[in-house]
Amino acid sequence: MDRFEISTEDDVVRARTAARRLAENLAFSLIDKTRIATAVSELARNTLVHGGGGRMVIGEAANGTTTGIRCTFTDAGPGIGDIDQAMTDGFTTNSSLGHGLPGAKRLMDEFKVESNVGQGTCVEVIKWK
Amino acid sequence: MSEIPILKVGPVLLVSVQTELNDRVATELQESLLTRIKATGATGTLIDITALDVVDSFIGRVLSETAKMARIMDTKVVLVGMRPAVAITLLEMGLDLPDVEAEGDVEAGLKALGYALRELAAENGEPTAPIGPRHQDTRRNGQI
Repeated sequence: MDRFEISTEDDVVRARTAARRLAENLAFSLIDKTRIATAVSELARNTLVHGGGGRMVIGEAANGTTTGIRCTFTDAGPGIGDIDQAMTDGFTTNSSLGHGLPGAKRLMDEFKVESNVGQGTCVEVIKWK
Repeated sequence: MSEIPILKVGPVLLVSVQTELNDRVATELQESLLTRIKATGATGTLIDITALDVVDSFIGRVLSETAKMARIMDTKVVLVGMRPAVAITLLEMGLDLPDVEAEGDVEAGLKALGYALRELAAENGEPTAPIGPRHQDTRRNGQI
């Protein structure tokens, strides 16, 4: 498990580069590597922009004989009031396009979001090989 | 000022993104590009993203907006060199880069802008034809 602080725009780049490298080490396909790096980029940006910064923990996941990549993003920001609304395409609370959460969900196999208003948000995604 | 060089080739601006694009660099590129379009009166702009292995929703939006803004300034933007995996990922996310015209490579992009490399060289006042004997010899010998 590796831990990355996300407090600047360069940290977002570092997070997606790390995700891509791990996907490469685990011999994911080229298109899956791109999906994983892109999803991580979206989620890391959410952590930075909406969560006011936080961290990503990334590592290998296992389910029987299947390997995968698990990424967990945690922030102590304002939280998401209405998760269903946040998961809607085009919904945004700032000037972004609102594709961050729903886009990342489509690119990964498993997607879990927990959020408490005033306490923060935790998003966990897994891509299986 | 953008960290990414913007080259002027005749009436066309050429941008080749060779670094990782963080959000700030992407936004700065947009500003610099629009400033250069205004300053040079360029009729076309090529943005080469061959080196980008990730185009997420933010970068996609900046590219798409840049094309739209440039069009308002009467300049056409063509995006070239998008990797297949990047195109697939963008579509899967539900993004289709509205307002962006795409071509495979720089040469096809120039054609889409209505130019060939030879015309651009001519506009720059460079000799275009015939190719000098030295070059012909080299080519015949297959040394290029």
